[in-house]
Amino acid sequence: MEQHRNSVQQRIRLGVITWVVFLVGVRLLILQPERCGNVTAAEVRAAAATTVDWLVANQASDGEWLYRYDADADRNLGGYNTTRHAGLTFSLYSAADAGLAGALQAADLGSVWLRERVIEAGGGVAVDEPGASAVPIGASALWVVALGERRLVTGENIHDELLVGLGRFLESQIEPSGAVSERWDRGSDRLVSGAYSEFFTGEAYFALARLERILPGQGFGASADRIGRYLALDRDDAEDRFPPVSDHWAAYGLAETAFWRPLSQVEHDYAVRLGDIFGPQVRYAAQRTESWFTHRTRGRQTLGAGLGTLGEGVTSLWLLTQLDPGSPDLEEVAAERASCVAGLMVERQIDPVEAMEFKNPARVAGAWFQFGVTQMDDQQHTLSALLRTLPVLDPAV
Amino acid sequence: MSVLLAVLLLVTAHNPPRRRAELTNRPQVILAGGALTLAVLVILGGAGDSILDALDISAPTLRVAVGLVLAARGLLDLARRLPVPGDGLDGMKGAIVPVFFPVLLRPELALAAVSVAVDGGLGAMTFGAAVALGLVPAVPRRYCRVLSVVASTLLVALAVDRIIDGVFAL
Repeated sequence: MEQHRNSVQQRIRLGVITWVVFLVGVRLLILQPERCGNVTAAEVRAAAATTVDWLVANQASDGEWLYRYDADADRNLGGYNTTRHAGLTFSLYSAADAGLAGALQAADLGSVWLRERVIEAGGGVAVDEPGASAVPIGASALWVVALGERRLVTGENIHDELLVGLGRFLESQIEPSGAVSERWDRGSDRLVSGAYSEFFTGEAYFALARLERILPGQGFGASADRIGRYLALDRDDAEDRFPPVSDHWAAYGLAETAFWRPLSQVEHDYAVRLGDIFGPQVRYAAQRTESWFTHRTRGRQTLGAGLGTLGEGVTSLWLLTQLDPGSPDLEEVAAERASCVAGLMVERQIDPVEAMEFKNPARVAGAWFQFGVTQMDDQQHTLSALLRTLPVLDPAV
Repeated sequence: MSVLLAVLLLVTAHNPPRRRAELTNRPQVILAGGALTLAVLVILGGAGDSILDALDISAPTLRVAVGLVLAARGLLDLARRLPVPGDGLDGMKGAIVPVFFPVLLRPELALAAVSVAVDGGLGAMTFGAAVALGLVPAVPRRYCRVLSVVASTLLVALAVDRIIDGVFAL
């Protein structure tokens, strides 16, 4: 009898131990918390404003920004990227739309820098890459987006001729399949056939969709649609891209298209697939902390730029659900992921108080760092993502 | 998540033939233990969203975790012999030990039930769990081995589906 009782107790004890080991193991190894925080619109706006302050403080009088900076050594690491310059100009015009002080002036100065590099190309105009025999198209595409944003913010049409010229150049880069050549050859005044960029295609798509929105009736919509169809159906296979491109610019393009027409089923399906690419990255990024344990089980935290692109992607999908009544049922979950990314960005940004611990606070406050280094696009993508999260968190924005 | 998938997932996660092999109790006792287990699973399922919120876990991440755990469970069961009955309380008390605990109320079943409740609704989870638990006394002892292999094989396939569904989700 005694032996039987002991045996039953032992069995119960073993069952309890199994439960405890199981729950602890699953929590530690598989179900790590996604530390998104509960960020508010006010906090997001404040973070965006601090980023604008960084961009104003770190812009030279000719419009060029500090590109790459080591905070620990207080050292300018040099380098520059024209496409990112144009992207940052877009982010700042968006900040101007949100009423953030200094943003419009900094963006206009960024546009002055780009204007000095305009050349005739492909039946229109393009942003030149001095010294390169083949000019990348990214800066031209993102400047269209930026100037389009400026037009939407200010209502001024002073850049319309330039916008049309840039649009014609981008159209000349589209191949019959809808693929977009990443470079324009200066010598032949033609696209470089068979050369494709992971992101320039989506940037051109967004740019041409935006042109259709602000300058309708000039054929830009048809060009955007050709690229959009290629992105949705063919790009990853045709360009042998695996895993499929995490293309936040394509997500921008889909949302932009929804401003002037409802999306097709093909486009809806593509939006869902993009969400399926952004989602796991957001959830994984949210599990990463600076702790010893998560470094070993989840890796180090991603770049500010990486986090920002995820925010841009999911907010674009959310915007799509607001504009297109027939869009996939992504609103709630896209809002959840957008809020999560914003929470991570706010938490990881160096605020003005933290910046005081560094040698040169003005070059640190408002920026995102990895291994003590920040790069211009860390601020570009995060700023855009933060601003696009504002209406998600506060419908009154 | 469809009701059919909910039922299949919970039945295979529970693996009634293996549970039957562990129990020598009378069918009424097993059903009573099953009812207790179902009650706990319904409570857990009903609290599923709150549990996820409290632990900062998203539904797709839980889906991945369930897939990983169930895949491991399925492969382990395929590699192991059927369990043998252990000691427990006599008579109707046996519905508590060993039927309810530790045989029927298992952590992998609880985890799967929470996930099914979050993804497919409490109704689907309750129905699926009731089927899974109700099948235990109905499994003929002589078919436990072969049916267990079938359930474990299907479980691995469903677990892979859960992982894919969880990874590729916004």
